[in-house]
Amino acid sequence: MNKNDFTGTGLVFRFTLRQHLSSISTKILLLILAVISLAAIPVAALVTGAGRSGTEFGLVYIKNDTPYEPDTEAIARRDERLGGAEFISTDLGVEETVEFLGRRDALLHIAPGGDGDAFEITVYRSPDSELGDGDLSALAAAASAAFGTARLEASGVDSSALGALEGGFTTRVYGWEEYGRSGEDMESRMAVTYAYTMAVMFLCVFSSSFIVRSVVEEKASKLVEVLMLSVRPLALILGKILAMAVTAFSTLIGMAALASLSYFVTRSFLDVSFIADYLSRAGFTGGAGPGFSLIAAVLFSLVTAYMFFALLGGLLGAGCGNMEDEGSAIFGIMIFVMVGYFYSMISTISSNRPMRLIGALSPLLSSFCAPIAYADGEIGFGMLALSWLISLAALGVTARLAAGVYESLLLHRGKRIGLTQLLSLRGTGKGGLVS
Amino acid sequence: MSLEVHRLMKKFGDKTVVDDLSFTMPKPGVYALLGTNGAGKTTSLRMILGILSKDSGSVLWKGKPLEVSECNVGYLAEERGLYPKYTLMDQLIYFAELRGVSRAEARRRIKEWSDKLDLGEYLYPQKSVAKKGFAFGRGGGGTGTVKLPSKKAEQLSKGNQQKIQFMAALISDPELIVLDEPMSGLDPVNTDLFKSVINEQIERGKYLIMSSHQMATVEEFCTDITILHRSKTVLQGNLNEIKRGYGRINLSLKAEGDISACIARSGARIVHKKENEYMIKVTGEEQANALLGVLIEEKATIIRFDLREPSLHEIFVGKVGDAADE
Repeated sequence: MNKNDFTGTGLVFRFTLRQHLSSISTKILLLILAVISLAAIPVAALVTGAGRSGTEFGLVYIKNDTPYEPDTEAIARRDERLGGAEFISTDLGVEETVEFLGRRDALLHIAPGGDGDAFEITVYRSPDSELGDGDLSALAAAASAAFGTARLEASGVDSSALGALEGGFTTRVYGWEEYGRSGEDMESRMAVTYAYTMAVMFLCVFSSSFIVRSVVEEKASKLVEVLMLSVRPLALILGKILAMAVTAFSTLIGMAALASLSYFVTRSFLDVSFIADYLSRAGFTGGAGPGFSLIAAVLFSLVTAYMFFALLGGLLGAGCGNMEDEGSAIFGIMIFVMVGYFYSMISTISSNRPMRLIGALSPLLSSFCAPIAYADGEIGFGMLALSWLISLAALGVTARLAAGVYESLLLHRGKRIGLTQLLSLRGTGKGGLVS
Repeated sequence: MSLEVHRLMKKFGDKTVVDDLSFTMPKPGVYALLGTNGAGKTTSLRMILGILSKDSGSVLWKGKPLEVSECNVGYLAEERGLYPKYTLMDQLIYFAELRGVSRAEARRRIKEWSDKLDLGEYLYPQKSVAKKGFAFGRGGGGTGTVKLPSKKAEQLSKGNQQKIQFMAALISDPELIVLDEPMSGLDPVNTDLFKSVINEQIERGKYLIMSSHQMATVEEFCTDITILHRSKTVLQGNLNEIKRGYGRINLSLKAEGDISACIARSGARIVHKKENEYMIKVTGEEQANALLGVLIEEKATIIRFDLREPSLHEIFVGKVGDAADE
């Protein structure tokens, strides 16, 4: 390798980036990712029920046809939407009451139950009400709990017995390795593992697929020979890899920025503290300390994973004879990616220490496993640094192999080159292949 | 000497594909590499340009090893292509920039070549549109034109794509131009267009190396040739000298009435006869004169008597046939 091998990299980079960004499929993909980034946090807050969505109640009319008297203060304490509500008893009929309900008012009708039910709670709102289904459900749930307590009190149960009866309970199942960890830790660890490995998987699959397609397209459209007059094969592949890196990492940064924006906007309306809890439990404490080193581990792993799969994509693409081979080349990459993904998920679920150590230290697997194992405290910084060194060495070997065979592969015509044949080509340079 | 090719050798596995090829181009002009399919022409051109490594041999340009990154070279490859989904303008600017031409200069040259090769409708497409608005007292808005982005390669016919590729090869105004089968697949109109461009490059003192199967086309331009057959050089030299070496052995004869008997008496051989037109092979001018004597003696009415050297096609077929027999 010498300086001339890289001449023209900038031009290839610029052209590839420009063409990639101007394609309609890229624009659509970026738009979808932007929407997902913006929508993910509010949707998660609503779906998980962590949000304090909805409208605060004004007047709550209570039509109680049972002998039990629920405590309205207890109802108000159950949900903050009911905190400012005024509770008024009414003897009017349901239809009459509904007629004069305001836009933030509701009617709570408690009636003796039929078909074996002890009681029945129905909540009404006005036709033009601002209250949503979630708000009415919250009122019904609060009223139901208060009514249950009222029934117990009417039966002579004292306050200490009430506490024992109404207190909840939880069940947990631990493996031996998990003893001493909380359930919340396990849940957050799985969520972070899932989110991180998905990010690596999408980064690698999308970017390497693009590189495969780009290389095969140049080969299939017979352009590569003319391009090789002006740029060396290494510059040709490096320009593509860098262009895709800029696209992929800018997309990730952009998604993170949009998600942050969405977080700050959403928290004005919804409770998003669950995100901070997750991140904190996963080791992202912010500022210096473990949070910083974890971010470094994540970035390093993403970059090495990207570089490995980009080089692999270049090699497999160059080994293709025509556009029909493109699918097989991408499938080859998918297999590598899926191995990394599933290994990471299975090792996290199983919590098997040797398995997690192997994952953290093996080239390729470490991109998926090392940051998770580090965040989880399974490996320390020393082990993480060792994993980085191993990854860099593996990347160097892959890059050297790519440099050795890429020129021969580009001029190759005919059947797709298998991995064994690929390895046997090392050092042949521009020697060409017998097709 | 401006271009010197010395003893190029190339093997793919055990198979020798170029065996000891040497030639020189001391002055501008067209050098033709001729040969049957698989003779080693394209491999030779790739080695000359450094796209493919040589097993041995050297290529010198103006006394120094030819390094395509350092000298201005244009190449029209036999396997031609363009990015199907990208606009022509983007591609041409990219190719020009890769050959060291600035973006602004590339745009200027593209316009020039677009006019020359009649590609304006693809590189600078426009659309007629009705003008909106109403000019008071002057009626409606009329029509105008809107510039559109240049077309994509996939929207062009094969012939027009070939023109774009030709343009890409010449856009850097190269000193050394390598054309691998430049006319293959072209219709007669575009063939003439390409010929005129090649002639223009010759007049401008460029060095052209051309490989082709179309002997008549090559014969129009080239001064020197090498005929390759199964990787070996079977004939090489200045085309006129080669032809002179063969002598004038082709006689085209047209007469009134059947003169077959006269031809037989002279010892000449009829190659082809169509009504009273004859293509005759003679051993040389002496035999041709003898035939003319017989015809005069027999008082035959001669309409045409044209004694010529063999064509490149005949030389090629003869040489390749001889080599195949050996």
